Amino acid sequence: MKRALARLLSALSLGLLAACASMQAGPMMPPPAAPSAPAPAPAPPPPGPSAEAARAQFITQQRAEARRVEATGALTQARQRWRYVLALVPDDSEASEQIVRLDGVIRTKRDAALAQGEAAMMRGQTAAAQTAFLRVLALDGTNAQARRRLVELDTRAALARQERKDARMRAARVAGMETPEDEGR
Amino acid sequence: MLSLLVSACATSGPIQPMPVSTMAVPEPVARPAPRVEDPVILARTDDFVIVRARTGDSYASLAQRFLQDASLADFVADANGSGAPTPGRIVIVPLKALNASGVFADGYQTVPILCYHQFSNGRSTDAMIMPRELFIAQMEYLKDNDYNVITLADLEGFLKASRPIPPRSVVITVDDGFRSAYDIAFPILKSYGFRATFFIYTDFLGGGRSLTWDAINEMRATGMIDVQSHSKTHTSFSLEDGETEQSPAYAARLRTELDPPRATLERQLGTPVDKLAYPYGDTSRLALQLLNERRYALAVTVERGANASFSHPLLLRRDMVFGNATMADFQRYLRVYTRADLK
Repeated sequence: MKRALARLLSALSLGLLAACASMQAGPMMPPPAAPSAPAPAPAPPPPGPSAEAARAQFITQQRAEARRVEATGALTQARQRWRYVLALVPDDSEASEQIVRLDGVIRTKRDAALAQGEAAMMRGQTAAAQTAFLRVLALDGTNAQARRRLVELDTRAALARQERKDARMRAARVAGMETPEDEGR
Repeated sequence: MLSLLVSACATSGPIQPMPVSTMAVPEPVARPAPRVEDPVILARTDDFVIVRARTGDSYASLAQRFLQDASLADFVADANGSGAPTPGRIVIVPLKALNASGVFADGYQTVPILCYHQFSNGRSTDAMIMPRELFIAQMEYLKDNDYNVITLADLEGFLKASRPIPPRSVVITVDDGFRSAYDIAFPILKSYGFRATFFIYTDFLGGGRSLTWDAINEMRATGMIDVQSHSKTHTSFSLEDGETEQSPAYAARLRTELDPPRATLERQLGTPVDKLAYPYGDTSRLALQLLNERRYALAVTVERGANASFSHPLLLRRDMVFGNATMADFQRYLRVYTRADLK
């Protein structure tokens, strides 16, 4: 509910801003023609300053957001923000450089986490392995090796839980008692 | 299907910005005014489209236009921070999830699956029976708190990393095939627009307290209810006394619980049955092997907890919601994101 309310308030404030902008810049609501002027041509107005301003503001926001989220460690999100900038300004050298730099950082961290995960698997440290493979997926969501390992760990844990449950049920049957699981039967 | 549609939306080439000077200029020919103006595309890549919103745009309409699925409105909204797509605002429409695994630097998305059984109009002392008023309160809670009720098919896409799902996704399931699922739960689900999967064990059908085929067909015709298998006799898939994973009798028992009900449901429903709710949530290594051989897509247990994209699709967790559950219990089941430092 809080989220919906925040969205509504945001929408209202943005709507108000947009209305103010259009009143100032005029592409949405052109000023009325003087009574003696000829009728305006039917051609629709080209994108005016407000469209350009919105575009420039969007690009500025994406640059700022890219830096902000990178500082929080969200490298792929940061790279995506730079991609938005590059999509709108294909010759933006800063965006190009940042994407190349982040690609390198992401690759290096991903490979290190992958190696840590495999080492933890070898040592039987499942919690450490899971965290390491999750770090890989946070950097590279399509990484098949990390995903395979995480499914493997999840499967092992699920089957171990089932075996413990089976053992409890067997023991309860032998003792002629009900188990907590019987509640769901 | 969504991924195909999404692919169809995407261009295969590199980033192609639209020339600014032509972006907002309509063709100088007379034509009927569009019902809702199309958003102006400023740039398009394989992964996203950047548009300038126009009058009448909403995240739902943008999701419908570019992803062919209005229910992904929150997926689009999340890429844009706060605020609605007011006219003139520049909006990002992701064509793919930024990270299809749902894993991020601060944690990972999880999908709870709620599990109900019977329903009653009044209070009940049986924990397996959900009172109507409590069920309404729970559905109201989902609606009021921006949860997105998705289907098991949607969840399957998430597990395969082939399809985005919205944030705060939840699945609703109802086990066994009690008549009260039709009389009480179905009208409530329909009124909230929440889709659900009903898992039915076929030996139960035809009894006085069970669903009828007419009721099943009526519910399915609305597109709100999917019907899948809950075995034949509702016998546990766990090893019984005297059985081993290798014993032929055990394998034969499991095959009997899997194959005839699937054939019955597919014949009656005319659609594939590829999802299973294990009776009592119990499974085994052999059960997994048989489900894999039979190409089941998903199977659900009653192990409490929510499911990440890397959960085994045939060992999914579910939270049984008992009739004596408090709202605090219910809220605890709705774990849609697991926080973890993954930097």
